[in-house]
Amino acid sequence: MIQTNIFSKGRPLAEYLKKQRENKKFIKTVETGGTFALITFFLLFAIRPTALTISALIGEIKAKEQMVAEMRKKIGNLVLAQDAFSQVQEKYKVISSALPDNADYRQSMVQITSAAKESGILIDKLNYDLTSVKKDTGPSQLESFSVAINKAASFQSALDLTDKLLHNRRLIGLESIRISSTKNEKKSSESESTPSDNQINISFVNEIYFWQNQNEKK
Amino acid sequence: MKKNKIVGYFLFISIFSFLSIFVYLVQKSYINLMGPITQTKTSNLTKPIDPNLDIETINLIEQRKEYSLDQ
Repeated sequence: MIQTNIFSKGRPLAEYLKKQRENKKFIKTVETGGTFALITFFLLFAIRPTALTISALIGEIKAKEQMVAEMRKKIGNLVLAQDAFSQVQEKYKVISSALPDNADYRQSMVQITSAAKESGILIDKLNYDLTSVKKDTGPSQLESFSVAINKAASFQSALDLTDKLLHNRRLIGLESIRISSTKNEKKSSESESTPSDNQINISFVNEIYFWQNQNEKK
Repeated sequence: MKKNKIVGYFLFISIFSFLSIFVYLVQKSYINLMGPITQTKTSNLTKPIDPNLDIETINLIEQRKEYSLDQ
């Protein structure tokens, strides 16, 4: 009897303790949840703007540092390029002799007559067509004039002259070349040269270029 | 029992929110950090200059013969 009484008295106590444990667990869970919620709140409204600002500032600082390094490198390269350019500038005469900024008829005449002389052809007449200075419509906008040569010469000399003209420093293009037998020329008696038997009559029309616009811009 | 369930959900939501906001914050900070650096890398200002000028054509021209009046 006494035993059952102890049991009946102990049950509410056990239930009470169980409830207390559950309550403690509940409070702990609420505390944990609340802590996370609070941290989230702070993360969103306090840490977020600060972290974003700090990261943006650090990013900008690093970018600027990188930019400074790149610029230093660039300035160094620019100085080197300047030196290289001043060296190239000394060669301006070379460029000018190849593609002058004006027609420079005298220089072109010297080139043709000297090349012909070296090839064994004595040129006594050059026909400059000054009425039709051509202008290239492309991006280069090169201008050119024609020079016609009509002379009797050996085939080898004519080939040599063609080669010399095409490989001359002054930019010379061969617009047309006409080779004819001297006999035909004799018959028609149109030739102004005095051909011999082993010679041919050769007529060149050369295009000689110059680049006025480009240099005007400078 | 119902109270416990609600608290469980509350805990889950708060942890999930915390994690998602944390990830968002890290990602956004990384974008903020790397954004200006990548912008600098792709910028025209940082394009390198080659100091070696191409003078091959000038050398070729120089090799060609030019006649003068004396020749």
